[in-house]
Amino acid sequence: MSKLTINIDGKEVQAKSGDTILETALAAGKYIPHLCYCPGLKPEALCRLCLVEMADGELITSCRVPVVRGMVIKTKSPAIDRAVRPTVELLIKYHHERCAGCPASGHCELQTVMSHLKIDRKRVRRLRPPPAKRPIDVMNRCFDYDPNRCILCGICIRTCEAIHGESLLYYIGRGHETKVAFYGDEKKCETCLKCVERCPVGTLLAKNLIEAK
Amino acid sequence: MPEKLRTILVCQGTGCISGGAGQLQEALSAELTLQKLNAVAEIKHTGCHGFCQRGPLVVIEPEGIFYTKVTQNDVPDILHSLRPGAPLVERLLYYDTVINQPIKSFHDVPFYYKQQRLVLRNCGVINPENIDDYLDAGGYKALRKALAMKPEEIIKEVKDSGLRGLGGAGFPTGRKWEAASQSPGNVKYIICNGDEGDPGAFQDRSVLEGDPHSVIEGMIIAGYAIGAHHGYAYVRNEYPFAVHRLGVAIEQARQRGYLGKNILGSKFNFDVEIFQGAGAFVCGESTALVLSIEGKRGMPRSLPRPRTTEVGLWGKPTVLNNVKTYANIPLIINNGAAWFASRGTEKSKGTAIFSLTGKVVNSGLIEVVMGTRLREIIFDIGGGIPGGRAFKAVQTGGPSGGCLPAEMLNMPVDFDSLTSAGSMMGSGGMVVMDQDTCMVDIARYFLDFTQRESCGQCIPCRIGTKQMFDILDSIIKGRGKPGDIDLLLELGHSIKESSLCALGQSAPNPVLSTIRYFRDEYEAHIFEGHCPAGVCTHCL
Amino acid sequence: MDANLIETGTKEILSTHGKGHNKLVPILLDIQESFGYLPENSVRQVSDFLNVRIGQVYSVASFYKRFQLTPIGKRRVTVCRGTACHIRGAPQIVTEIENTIHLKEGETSADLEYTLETVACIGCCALAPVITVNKAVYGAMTPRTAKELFNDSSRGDKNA
Repeated sequence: MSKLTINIDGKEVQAKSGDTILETALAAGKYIPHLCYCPGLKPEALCRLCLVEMADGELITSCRVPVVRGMVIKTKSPAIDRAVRPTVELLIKYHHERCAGCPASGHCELQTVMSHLKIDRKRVRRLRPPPAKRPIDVMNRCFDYDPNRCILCGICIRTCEAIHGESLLYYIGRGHETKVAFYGDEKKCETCLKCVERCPVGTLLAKNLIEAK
Repeated sequence: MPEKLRTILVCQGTGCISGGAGQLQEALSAELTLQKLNAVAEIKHTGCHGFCQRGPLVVIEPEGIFYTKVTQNDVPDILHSLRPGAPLVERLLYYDTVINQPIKSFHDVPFYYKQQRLVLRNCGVINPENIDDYLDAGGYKALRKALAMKPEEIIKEVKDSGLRGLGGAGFPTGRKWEAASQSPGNVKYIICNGDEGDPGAFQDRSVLEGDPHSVIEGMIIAGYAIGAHHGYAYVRNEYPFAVHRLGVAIEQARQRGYLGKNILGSKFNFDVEIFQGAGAFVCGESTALVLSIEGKRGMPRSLPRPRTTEVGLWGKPTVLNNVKTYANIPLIINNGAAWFASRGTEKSKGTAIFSLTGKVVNSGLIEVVMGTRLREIIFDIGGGIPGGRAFKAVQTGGPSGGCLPAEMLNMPVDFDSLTSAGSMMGSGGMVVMDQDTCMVDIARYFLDFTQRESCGQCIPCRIGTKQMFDILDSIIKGRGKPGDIDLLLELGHSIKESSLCALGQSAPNPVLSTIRYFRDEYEAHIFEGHCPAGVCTHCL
Repeated sequence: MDANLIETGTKEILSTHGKGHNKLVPILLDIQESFGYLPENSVRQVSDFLNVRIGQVYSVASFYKRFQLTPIGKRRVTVCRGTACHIRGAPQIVTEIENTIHLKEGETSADLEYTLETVACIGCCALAPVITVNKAVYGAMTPRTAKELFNDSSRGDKNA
C-alpha cells in the first residue's frame, strides 16, 4: 500500500492510501470525536460527530472519506463546533443513565467525546427532557439491552453481520423510538458476545455485570 | 354510429369521488337512457380537473360548460339543458364575485385562464382508463418519434430543454440521464417516484389518476435513452385510485405493444411494474426509495457515496425521476427542446405544478409557467383569502420548505428564488395562511411531522427534530423560556449542517423561516404568553 | 381471528407472489389489507416462504407506517393531518372524535369496533379538513359534523 501525506490541523501526517481521514488521524494520535466508527466494520456515518472541515469550508464525515494526497483538513473550527456540539448535548440529554455506577464508565466512548469537547453541563440542562424511560430488554440468555443508554450506532448489528454473515440483531421501529432487538431470533444467537464487547457505551451488557450492579 | 354531439365529462379525481362523483356518474348514465338522449351525448369519466374545492365537477364539451358542486339531484336539469334551445343550469355555474356574473365555460373562469396546463394537458380531459383517449390526444407519438432517434439524441434534447427534476431538488434531468447512460453495465433501471409524502401536496397523485399514460410514455423513453429494460413506478399505498388507474394503463399499454418486447416493432424491450410504498416520507430520498424497493428499511445512505445513476437499484445504474418530470418528456420530444426552453425563467424551464390549498378561495391543482409571481397564483388564480381576511404567509415545499411573508408576494416562483428566500419548490404543495394562522403553531406542526418521519439512524435528525418539536410545543402551550428562540436557531443550524440526508438537512426550514419572518409571534408567545393569531388556546 | 383462516389466507396471498426479497413489502401490504394487521403466524409463514428471518420481517414492518402488529377495529377512522387540514381545523376534529368514540389517537376499542388514527396526508387537501372511515372519504368536516357522523352510526358504513 502506497504512502502519502495529508495535512491535519497544520501538521503533515503520513497516511496509507485507501485509509479514511478518520483512520489516518487516529493512527497519528489526532482524536476526532466518533461513536459509530469501529475498526474493521464498514463506516456508516450515523453519529455525525466525526465532521471535519475541508479546505473549501465544506464539512464532511471523516469516517467515510478516503485520504487523497495533499488533502488539507481541520478537525477543529467554529463551523465544526456549531454543527457537532448541539448533537452531543442532545445525546447526553437523551442518555438517561448517569455515569456513576455504569459498568461502561471509564471505557465509554461517549465520555471520551464529552471530555474532548469539554461539554458544558449547563448547556445540556437548558434542553427539554427526553421521553420516558423504556424497559430493559432481557430476551437474550447471556446479555441485556438497555434502550435508554443506546445511541443507535449500529455497531452491534454490523458486528453480528460481519461475524455471522447475517445479523440477528435488528433495528425495530423508527425515529426516536428506534431500538435494537432480536425480535424472535434470540434463540439462534451463538453468544459470541462480540456485540457486547464492541458496544461503545454500555448498552449491551453481559448479564452478570448487570446483576453485580 | 353517428358522432355524439356532446360529451359529458365527470371528474373522478379523489377529491370529486369523495364528494360523490361515482354515484353522480351512475345517475347521469341512467337518466341519459331514461331521457333517450344516448344519441345526443356520451358520458366519460376523467381524472382530476383541478378545481377540487368546487367538486364534483361536470364539464360539457365542446362548449366547456362548467358545472360545479353537482349532486345527483341536479342530473335531470343538466340533461334537460342539452336539448335544443334549453337554458343552462345557471345555479351550477361558477359565479364570479368580481364581475357579479355566472361564467359559462371553464376556459373563462379565472382559476383556469391564468394557468398554462402542459403536464396537466390531459387531466380532466381524457378518460385515464381508456388508452384510445390518450392516443386521440396525441399519446405515444413521442415514443414512436423517440424510437427513431438515437439514445444520445434524446438525452441531448432533454438536456437542451433545461428540464429540471420536479420532485424537489431540481437536478437537471438530462444530465441525470446522461450519467446513467454512461455508467457501464447491461442492466439498468428506471424508477418513477410517486411517493408523494409531503402533507399538503397531491399533484403527483392527480397526474397518475388523470393521465397515467403520459408518465408511462416518459418512462419508456427514459428507458430507451439510458438502455434500461425495466421500470418501477413507486406509488403511495394511500393512493388507491392512482394505483388502480396506473395498473389499468400499464395493462393496456402492454396489450397495444407500447410495453413489452420489441416495442412498436423496434428491438427495444421495456416493462413497468408498480411498487406500492408502505408509508415512510423519507422514502422520497433516492437511496431510501431504492432500499425500500429491495425490501429493506428505507434508511438513506450517507455521502460520500456513488450516485444512484452509477449504483442504484440492486447496485445497478438507475434513473429516478418524479411523476411530473416523466409526464413532461413526451411534450419535449414532440415539440422540441427549444419549444420547452422558451417557457419559464433562465434557470427554471417549463411549468410548475402546485396543490394550492389552505386559506384561499379557490383550492385545487394548478399549473403555471415558472417565474409566475406568488401574488398571481394566490390572488388571481386562487381568488385571494376568503372572508375578507388578511394574507399572512404562504408555505411551499412542505416539511422541507418555509413560510414566506407578504413582502415576498412579488417573488417569481422558480427553484432558485424559493430556495434563496429560505423555502423550496419541494414537490409542489402551496398552502396559504391568513391572519388567523399562528406561525409558531405551523412550525410546531411541521416539526411534529418530521420527528415522526425521521428514520432514526442519525443523531441530529433523530433527537434534534424531536427536541425542536418539544420546544415549539412548550412555546405554544405558554411554557416557552427566554432563550428558546436562540436555542431553536442553534439546533436548527446544527441539524441542517450535520444530518445525514436531505430530510434532516431541510427539517429545520419551517422553524428557521418563521423565526426569520415572524419572530414577533415567537416573542409574543414566550414573553407575553399571548398568541397574536388566537390559535394557541393556552396563550390568549 | 380464526387461526386456520389466517393460515389459509396467508397461503393464498403468498401463492400470488414470487420469492425475491423485494416481495417482502408487497406481501406484507396484502396481509395488512386482508387481516387489518400482521398476525404473528402470518409473519412466520412469510419468513419461511421468503427465507428471511423473522426479526428481519419485523424490522421492515416496524419501519413503515402502514403496518400494524395488533388487530384494528371494524371501522378504521383516519383523520388527515395534512397541512391544509391542520390550518382548517384538523386538531379540533381529532379532539371531537376522541371525545365521541372515547379513543385516543392510535388506539383501538376493546370491542374492535373502532380504530382511531391519523395520517400525514391523503391528498384531498382542497376538501380540508378530511377524515376517512374505512374507504369512504368525508370532506369539509367541522367538529359538529364529525360528532354527528359517529353518533349516527349507520353513516359510518358508507362504501365500507
